[in-house]
Amino acid sequence: MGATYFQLRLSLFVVIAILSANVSFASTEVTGELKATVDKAISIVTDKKYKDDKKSRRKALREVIDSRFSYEQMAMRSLAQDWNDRTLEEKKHFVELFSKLLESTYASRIESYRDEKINFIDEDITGNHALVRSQIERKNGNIAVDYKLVNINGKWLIYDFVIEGVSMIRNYRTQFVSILQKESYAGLVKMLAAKAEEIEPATDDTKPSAP
Amino acid sequence: MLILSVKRKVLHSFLFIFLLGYCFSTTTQAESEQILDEFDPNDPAVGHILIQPENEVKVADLSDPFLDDDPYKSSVPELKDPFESYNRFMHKINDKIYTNVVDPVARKYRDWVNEDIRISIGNFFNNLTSPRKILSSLAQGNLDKTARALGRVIINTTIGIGGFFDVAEKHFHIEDVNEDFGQALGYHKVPSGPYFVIPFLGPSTIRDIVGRAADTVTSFMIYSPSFAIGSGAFVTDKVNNTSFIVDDVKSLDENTVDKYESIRDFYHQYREELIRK
Repeated sequence: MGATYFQLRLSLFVVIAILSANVSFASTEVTGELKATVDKAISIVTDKKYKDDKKSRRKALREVIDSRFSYEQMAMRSLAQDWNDRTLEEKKHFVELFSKLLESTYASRIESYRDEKINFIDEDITGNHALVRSQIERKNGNIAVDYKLVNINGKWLIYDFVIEGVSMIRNYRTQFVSILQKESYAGLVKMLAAKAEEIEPATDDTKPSAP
Repeated sequence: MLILSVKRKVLHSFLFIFLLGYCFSTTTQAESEQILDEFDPNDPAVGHILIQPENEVKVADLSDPFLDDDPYKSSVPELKDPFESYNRFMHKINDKIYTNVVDPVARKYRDWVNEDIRISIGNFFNNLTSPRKILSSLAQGNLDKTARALGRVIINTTIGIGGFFDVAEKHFHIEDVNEDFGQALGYHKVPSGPYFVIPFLGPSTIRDIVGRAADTVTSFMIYSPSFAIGSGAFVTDKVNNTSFIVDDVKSLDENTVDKYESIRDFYHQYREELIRK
């Protein structure tokens, strides 16, 4: 189980580490928009002009990621009930800190992509929510990745990833609930801020890794 | 023989821990009905984002229709953690071992051993777990999985040269089966019991410890000719597996706020999903 545990943990950040994306069903604009984002991210990572300018590459990647993530939704869903107790300023600050964490997580994974393929398998739309199922083909096995999106002002934005059954937002919620039980909200914000700062310097020396 | 007697002792300790855990799990069963995804999406206060009211950002409500939709039909129940102080202590030790020993060894191994060879080694060890897969699929009455696991071991052991090549998947399109006795117990509605971090081996639950003990009976470890060979094989298997994911684990760890809780939840969600599958 030790190994399987690590295997499951790997999958979260393979999500956008994709070389080419295939759609194997009659998809709507949800999958189309998602695929466009993935393709854009790949084109940045493979663009030779950024090869020696990692800072600019990270900046370009961030723009792509930011346009497809709903950080507000992610923050609200992660804080759950505690969201309502916060003031407007606190909410803004929390979203800002949390978005740095999410953004950096995904950017660093795209930057270390491997020769992987993603197949969009199907999609399920219920009102303004959509679930897009995909599969990442790795040489040593496939990984199921489901994207959850919500339509906000006509645009489909990601609010959760479910990888091999593991919801990323639920995972953060578990962490936040535990911290809030032991510490105050201020304590959680302090930890988030420290984490955001810790991540920031890593931006400059992120390098692609061997498989 | 020595190994068998040690195994037996370990099994007995596990059974004791399980009984202990079962007492906990029965007292907390009613509470475990309480779902973690418990905030009410219909609550109007929850339903609207207030972050930029001045810009009149219209954001959809926080409901999630897919939590009630297959494959997420049942939300994952809460995983109790009455042994938290011990678990956190053991997590710290395991984490130190992983960071200082397993991670660097797996990286060196990855640099030295070609990926295709590592995949073949992985196939070999995976093939050795076939008895576990067959028996636990059978214990769930799942004939499709039993037949697949049986078909795969026959094909891969023969045409796949001792299991080094996954011919069954590649040429016969027989998908692998991921089953163990912990899942079989879950399938038969045995509650997970509390979370428990095993020394060296990492996250588990009382149910999975019992499952793991049963898996051990079908493991190559206890049938290996000597302790040295058995443990050598065990270490090779672990290092080989880790070599594929060492960067992913590092990235993930760097982006957690409470690593212990993150791992605990990851383990729990993943295991519950495997049981559902």
